[in-house]
Amino acid sequence: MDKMIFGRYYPGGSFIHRLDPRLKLIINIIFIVLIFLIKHWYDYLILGGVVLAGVLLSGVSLRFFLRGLRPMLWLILFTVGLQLFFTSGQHVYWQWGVLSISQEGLINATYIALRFLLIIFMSTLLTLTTQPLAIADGMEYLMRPLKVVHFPVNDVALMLSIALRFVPKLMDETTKIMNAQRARGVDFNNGSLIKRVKALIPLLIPLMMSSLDIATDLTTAMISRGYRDGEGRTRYRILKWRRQDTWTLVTFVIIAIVAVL
Amino acid sequence: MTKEQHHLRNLIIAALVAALYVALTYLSQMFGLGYGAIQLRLSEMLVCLVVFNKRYIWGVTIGCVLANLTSTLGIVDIIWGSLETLIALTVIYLISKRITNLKAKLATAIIIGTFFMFMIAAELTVLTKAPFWLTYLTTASGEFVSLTLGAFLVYFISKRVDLIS
Repeated sequence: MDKMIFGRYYPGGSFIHRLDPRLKLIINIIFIVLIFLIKHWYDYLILGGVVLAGVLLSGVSLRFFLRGLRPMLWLILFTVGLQLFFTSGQHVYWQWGVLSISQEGLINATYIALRFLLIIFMSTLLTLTTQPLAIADGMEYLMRPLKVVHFPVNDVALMLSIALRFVPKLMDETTKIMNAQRARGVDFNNGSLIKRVKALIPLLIPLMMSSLDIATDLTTAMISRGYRDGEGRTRYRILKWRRQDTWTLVTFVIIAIVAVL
Repeated sequence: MTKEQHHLRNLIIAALVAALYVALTYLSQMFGLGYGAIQLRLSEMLVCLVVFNKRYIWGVTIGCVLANLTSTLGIVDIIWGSLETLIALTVIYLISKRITNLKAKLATAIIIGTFFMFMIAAELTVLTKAPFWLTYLTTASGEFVSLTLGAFLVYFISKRVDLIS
């Protein structure tokens, strides 16, 4: 079941690991807003310092953060290249047809690259130091004010926890069915696209069936135990807001205000 | 079943669909179901389920939230990407409700799902100044392929599995 724990969580007990997931989510949101508000190079320096401090405090090797860049690498190179070669400006250093490198282009490209780097590092910091379950719990808490606009917070909370519980089970189930089909000679990895999609049908039908079966069983079990609705449901995992969370938030907000001003 | 119990059943089915979305997302990555330039995102086929019942709107949206927990763009994808899914699914549901033919319903899902990728393209444009139309073209074509294949799969599944009640 080990590989079934999905996500990129890197186990540890550092200061960042121990922070409340709600705090980490709030800081992430403020951080993204900040990225849009700042304009000067020294603001980038400040936010860069914040991210660097977070990375160092988390005790996770930089390698894991750099790995987070990989899926976005092409998009990063593409947009940075676009800014670099197609921004027209006053001081042109190099020109070839429509391509040119100007001072303005260089500055824009650097800012875009920094923006990417900061956003990706910050969100990687969240996912590396927080278990998916904890993030989901945190989101549940942060969604509560939405009750005012009749958002079904309790229903969503119930669905989130059931879904998280059954992800590993369904992955197990899928692997099992896949192996069973492979033993009968189904090839999932080769052949034309049409052929491979067709091979998925005998995998997906049992999978869908068993999901619906699980749902029916669970419904019966919950109804017979008298489950009503989410109001007043007690929790197994309780999030605790500590003093260090308050201080971290205060420090971050002060830095944020300094960066914007 | 009382109305309340029926509601509970719908919630639980939605939750299982969400779990399935996450499981399929990870499995597509593990087994490499991408085919050259075409990345088959297996989980996207679940979008087509919405034409059968309203409850799948929540299922797929929550699945999307959970799958995005590991996204590189982090919180932006969790909030904006899931919002895109929620809106697109609601529109698909509301429009396909008025159509009786199953194939036409699924075709509607493909078109609307592809159309709404403009929200993702906008996300990338705002975030990184990527050119909007080019980003839209690439993301929407990826989604179009995933949804078309998904519609086929869901069509065959619906012949064997009761997705409505």
